[in-house]
Order: sequence, then structure tokens, then C-alpha cells
Amino acid sequence: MSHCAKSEKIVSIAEKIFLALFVLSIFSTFIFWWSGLSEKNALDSETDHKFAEILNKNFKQGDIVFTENDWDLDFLKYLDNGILPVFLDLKNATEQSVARMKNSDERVFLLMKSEKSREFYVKKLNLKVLETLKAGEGEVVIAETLFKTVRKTLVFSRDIGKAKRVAFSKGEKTGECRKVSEKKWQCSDENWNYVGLTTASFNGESRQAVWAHPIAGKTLEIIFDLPENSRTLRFNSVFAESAYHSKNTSPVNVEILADGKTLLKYANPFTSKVKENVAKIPENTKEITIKLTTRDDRQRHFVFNGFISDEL
Amino acid sequence: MNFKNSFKKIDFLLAGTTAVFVFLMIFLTSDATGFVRDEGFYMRAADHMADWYESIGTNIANGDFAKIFSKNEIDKYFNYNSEHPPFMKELFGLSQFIFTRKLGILSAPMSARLVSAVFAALTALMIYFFGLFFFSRITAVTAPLLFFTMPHIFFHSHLACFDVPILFFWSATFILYVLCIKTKKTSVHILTAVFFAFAMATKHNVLFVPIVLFVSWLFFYAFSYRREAGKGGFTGFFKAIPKVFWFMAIISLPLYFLIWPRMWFNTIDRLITYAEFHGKHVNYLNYYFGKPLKNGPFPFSFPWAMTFFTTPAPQLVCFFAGIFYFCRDFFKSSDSTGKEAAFAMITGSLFPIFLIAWPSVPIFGGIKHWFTGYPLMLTAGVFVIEESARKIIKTTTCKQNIIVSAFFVLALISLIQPNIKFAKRGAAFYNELIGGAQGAAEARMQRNFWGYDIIDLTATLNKEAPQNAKLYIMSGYEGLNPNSFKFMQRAGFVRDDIKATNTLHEADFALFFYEKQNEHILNSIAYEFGTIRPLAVSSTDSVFYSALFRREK
Repeated sequence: MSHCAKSEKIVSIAEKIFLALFVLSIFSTFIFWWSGLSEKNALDSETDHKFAEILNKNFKQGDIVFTENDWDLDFLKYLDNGILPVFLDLKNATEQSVARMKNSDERVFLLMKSEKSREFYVKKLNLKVLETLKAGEGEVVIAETLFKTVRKTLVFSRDIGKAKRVAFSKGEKTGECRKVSEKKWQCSDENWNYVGLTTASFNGESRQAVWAHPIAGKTLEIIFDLPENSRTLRFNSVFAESAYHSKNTSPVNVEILADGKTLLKYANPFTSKVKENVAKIPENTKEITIKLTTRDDRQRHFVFNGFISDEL
Repeated sequence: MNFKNSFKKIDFLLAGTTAVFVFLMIFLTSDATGFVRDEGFYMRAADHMADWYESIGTNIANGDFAKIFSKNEIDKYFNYNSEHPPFMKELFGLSQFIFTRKLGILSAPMSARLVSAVFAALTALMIYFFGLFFFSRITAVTAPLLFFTMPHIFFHSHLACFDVPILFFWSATFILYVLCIKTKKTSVHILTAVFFAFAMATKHNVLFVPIVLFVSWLFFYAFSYRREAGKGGFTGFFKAIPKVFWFMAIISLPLYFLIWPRMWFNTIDRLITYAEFHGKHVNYLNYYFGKPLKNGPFPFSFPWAMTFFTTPAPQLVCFFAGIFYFCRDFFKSSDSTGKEAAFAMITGSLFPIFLIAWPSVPIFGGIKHWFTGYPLMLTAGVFVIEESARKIIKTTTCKQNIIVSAFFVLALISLIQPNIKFAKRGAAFYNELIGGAQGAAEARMQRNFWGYDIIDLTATLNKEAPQNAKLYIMSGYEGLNPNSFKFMQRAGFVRDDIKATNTLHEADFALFFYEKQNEHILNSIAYEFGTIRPLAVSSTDSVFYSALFRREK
């Protein structure tokens, strides 16, 4: 067979393959898009309703929810107010990250597509299963994390309602913030002007945090009484939302005092990166004060989280 | 790449019907798609352009002709969005001037989208003629229909942006170049240069075209053309250069400057600023198989895999077949011109994908940045399928035509369902090879782009929001552009009294646009509003893309 005839034959075979693939593609398009195959992995309506029903009945403030199917969120439509947060990052979650997402000892709800993956996630996240509840084709696992390193005596986001005082001061003048719930202190009629629980991205990971928007020319003071055996402060802060895109580059100045003596002092830089701090707390400290100031308060969407532990 | 058919009377009917059909399909569904981020900027630029046309009328009436093109006047109307050339914005503005301000029959945003529908029709015509001249009449009719039944293409054809227009100009320039080297007619070379000026004035992508074509020509010159009589040596080289390249220098460039009045003043500085903007373009974070592509080097596979998974299967087969056809043509052509033409088609099809695949090139977002060569490989691919089917169907030509046509009609029918499913959010389409929307979400691909997907939410918002309610639009997080929001109000999608805000804490309602990197905003909204229960959700195949929330505390 000549070289030319050979190549003609190869071309002919290739053309037939393309034709066959084209025919196959028509069939696959019909089968996939017309037969319901494209939507087959969605949670059915019963499962959605059951997920919501179980959460509405069992969820307590402070618990957190993870959902295995992170793109079909129809169950959210049936949830009562106050059931939050719902994290969509179960696939990437580790035992440490789950522990960090929680404030302290609250429970974890895993909404599983089926029973099959329960064992995998319980093992991966190092959980102790408290209860499993059938939810249509899926399952709700209620568990607690076994990953514990230190005892947290104070968690800022969890305990913001326990603050002794939250106020703005300017010289002699002070404006007290009004405690409106266990998670929020309202400081004026402006919606944004409060100190309270929120979530924010901390270097790409969603975390519970305290929203604390400073006001130029004033000092925002948040004071906590310290429980016994409070030895180490871990304090993280960052600009939430898109504040770091703002033209306003003023840092937020943070000062943390232990019984009036400066423990930590820094200017939170104008970036999206989290500023992480650790400081030892002197023995027998009674009170800790967080002071926040800024030169220009436009879009200073400042949030912080962290905790105080008995870690030496 | 040989001429196979000439234009006949029936082609008026076929080409015209195809173009009108595409135009109507696009324009009549213009209100099915929200306004993407870029549209907000371009529609605002169109306002400036329409103002300019108004001012020209006023200045003429006042006899003040010099003022029309004075620096102050030009800067006043052309400085906005100066990082992009003005041709499309001039057309958007002209359309607004005529259809909104003078005739009052279209809203300003829809007058801009009318221009996009016209460009979709022009693209259909271009594909028809490309198919007719180089392949067959059945290919000429089928290829544009298959082209516009790709959900991404259908989606982008609606948008008052530059992407489908530059696709038209990119592909057409390569086709015209092939006509130049095939026909060697001076008139075709001049036409190509004139056409290329408008291409440059549309978007910077095409600035690569003369470079790619000239380098390719140099290659053929070095190995072949220089041996032809009179083309060797120093002077022979310059004589051998196809006239179209000379015309690009002496016709395209001046015309390009003529179309862009802003460049008449402080030319060098402004050109440098323009080049710097695109040369130092930021990267947009994209999720790709669960990995955030934040900083380079980026995976070479990115645009290839995205093309593979975002093109419906029948058209994807045609892409492969089309490239196969051009390669076969390259090796089969006995003359260098034929080889160069085939090579031009390969580069026209694949260079845009190669460029984005380069690890140091930023990722600008969706497939629109490299789909400019799709018409070329799709059309050739349709012809490969047609020819292959004819070889198998051993019957009369007439019967062959009927069977082959029926075969393509079946393919088009199969594509109706995915197009309906993604009609409102074509940018989110993934094909069955990755498992559709669900498979892509499971694989953690970027789910959607450009914060436009609110059409399914607006009815609830308009019904539920009290007077002067504030709506968080998530603009700082790839959400809705404030300009786009305003134009959605002008188009009647959103009630006029509703105010957009970027501060969640002052909002009464909130839009949430899902992307992996913005997941935390869902809980921020939930904490702020006291609920994670959405009022309305926009989804396809149960995969959610965006949602509307109401403050409950």
C-alpha cells in the first residue's frame, strides 16, 4: 500500500470515528439532559423537609451545621430563624478546622446524603457521634468534636454577650452600647454600628467573629471579666467583606490591656490577611479591655475573634 | 481550504433566514438574562456616547463645529471606561440615541443589547458564508445553528459587551486573510484592512492577529515563498509580503485612531496607559477542580479543560473534527498557499486557548476570553461529519441531503433542553462529560461568573420589599455591579425605589451570589439577618447560584 493510500485510509477511519462520536453525542445529550439524569443527584423533597425538621427541633444556639451536598440547599427554605451557621465546606474540613469553626463545646450537625459517608466523615473529623437521625434518603448526624487541646475560658465570639461593658468614648464623654441580645450590643441607630457576632473570611476560611466597627475620633472599648486560670490570649483580626478594596487605607489600632496594663498593641494593616497574635496574661488578672481606634472610619469593617485559655 | 461553492440566489434566503432567526432568538430573549458586571460599565459608557451624539446636534445647531472634536469635548464623553476601545460603546450609544431618546421604543439597556443581537446575526452570516464558500450549503446552514445552541454562546450573545463582537471580528479576520492569500485581489486586502480597524476598535484581543499571521507567513516565506521568482533577496522579501500587512499599517491604524477620538490627544501617554492596563491585568480567582487559582503559574490545562467541559458534546466533537480537517488540509495541500491557509485556520481556532493556557497569563474569568476561534473549528467539524455521513449513506445526492439534514436537525433538537435549562445562566453551563451542573459543583469548578443571575429573584424582591428598601448587592465579592443594578432598574427588572448598598449592616434585603471563595458571605448574611432561610433561590438542576434573603431581626 502506498504512503498516500495509507494516509487516505487513516483519514477515512478518523472521519468514521468522528461520525460515530457525533452520533453518540446526540444520544448522550438526549439521555443526559432529557431523561432527568442531569438532576439525579439532587436531594429529594422529603429529605430536604426532614433535614429542616430535625434542625428546627434539635438545633441549639452555638451548634454548627455542615452539609455534605453543598450545592443543593433547598432545605434552607424550611429552616426556622436562628439556625446558623451552615457551612458548605465539609469536603475540605479537618478535625482542626471544625474545632476552629466552633466557639467551644457546641455540637456539630452533619447533613449526609446517605448513611454511606457517615463513617468516613466521623473518622476524618474525629467526632463522637451523639445521635443519628434518618432523614428521607439522607441522615443527620449529631456529634461533638474530640479534638480539644486547651480549655477555653473565654471565647470572644461566643461570649460577646457576657462583656462587662461595651462603649465608645471621646475624652470624658462616653456612649454606652445597649445589649440587645446575647450576641449583640447596639451602639447607635445605624445598623452597622454594633458589636456582635458575625462570620467572616479568615484567610479564606469561614470563622465566627465579633463585628466591631470603630469610629474616627472615638475609642471603642470592650471589657470582659476574666475567669480563673486565664493564661494565654489568642487574638486574630481582619477586615471583613470587601473593606480592604476601599480607598481608605487607615489601619485600625488595637490595644489590649490586662488590668489596665498594655498586653498587646498593634495597627491592623490594611490587607485582607489575618493578623494573628498570641500574648501571655499575667497571673491573677481580673479584667481584659479591648480598645479600637481609627483615623478614618470609612469602610473599617473590622472583625476579631480568638479566645483566652488555660494554656501556659 | 479550497473554494467549493459560489453564492447563489437561494443563499439570500438561507443566509437571511438564518441571520434573522438568530437575531430574533437573541433579541426576543434579552430580558431573560441579568446584566453582568461589565455591562454596567459599558451601558454607562453608552449613556456618555448618546450624550455626545446629542451634543453634536447642539453644536451643529449653534454653528460651533470646532467644539465637536475639541479635546475638552472628547475627554468629557470618552474618558469613562477608557481602558477599552470605543467602537462597541459608540454603537451602544448610537442605538440608545435613536431607539431610546429619539424614538422612545426601547429602554437604554435594551437598546445596547439590540446591538449585541445584531452582532449575533452578523456572526451567523459570517459562519454561513465561511461554510458556503469553503465547505457545503448544508454545513453553511447547520454550523450557525449549532454555534448558537451552545449555552455559553447563546448567553454571551445577549450581553452588551465586546465578547461576541470580537469573536465575530477575530474569526472573520482569519477568514478574510485566507481569502486574501487565495484570491490575491487587492480589493480583498483593502477590505480586510478596513475590517481589521474596526476589530481593533472593538477589543484588544485582535492585536495578536497580525503578529500571529505575519510570523506564520514568515515561516512559509522562509521555507517556500522565497524560492518563487522575484521573491528572493532583500527587495524580494518586501515585495513578497502580502499586501494586507502593508494595508494594516497604512489603512487599519489611521482608521483605528479615527474611530477612537480620545487617542487624538496625548496619544503616546494614553496608548501606554491602555497597554499597561491590559499588560498588567489582575487575575480573577477561579476555582478549578477544587483549587483556587489565585496566583500564577496557572495550570496549562485550564482553558482546554474548561472548553472540554463547557461545550455541549455534539459541538465538542465538531471542534475536534474541525481541527482534524485543518490539519489534514495542511498536510494534504500541494501548494504553500493552501498550507498557509490551513495553518491560519488552526491558529485562528487554537491560538486564543493557547494564549490563556500560558501559565503566566492571568485568568480573566470564563470561556469568553478564548472562544473567539470557535466558529472556525466548529464549521469545519460540521463539514467533516457531513462528508463522513455521505460516504456511509450510499444513495442519491438528494436523499443524502435529506438524511444528513435530518441528522443535524436531530442534533439541534437534542440541544434544546440544555439551552432551556441554562437560558438564564448560560455562563454556568457544564456538559454531561463532567456531570452537568451537579457534576461541576461536585468537582468544585467555578459555578457562575459576573454576578448577574438575579432574574429568578426579582419578582420576589419587587413584591416583598417595602418602599425604599435597601438591598445588599455583594458588589465587593464578584456580586452585582452597582451600575448593572441601576440599569436593571432602568430596564424595569427591579423597582426604582429600591436602593443598592454594599454595606450588609444597613441592608433590609441581601443578594448572595455563590462562589466557593465567597461562601462565608452566606453566614455573614445569616448572622446579620437572623436567618439563613432564603426568600427566593436561582438554581438549575437543584444547583443553587444565587439567593435573596430578608432581614428577620
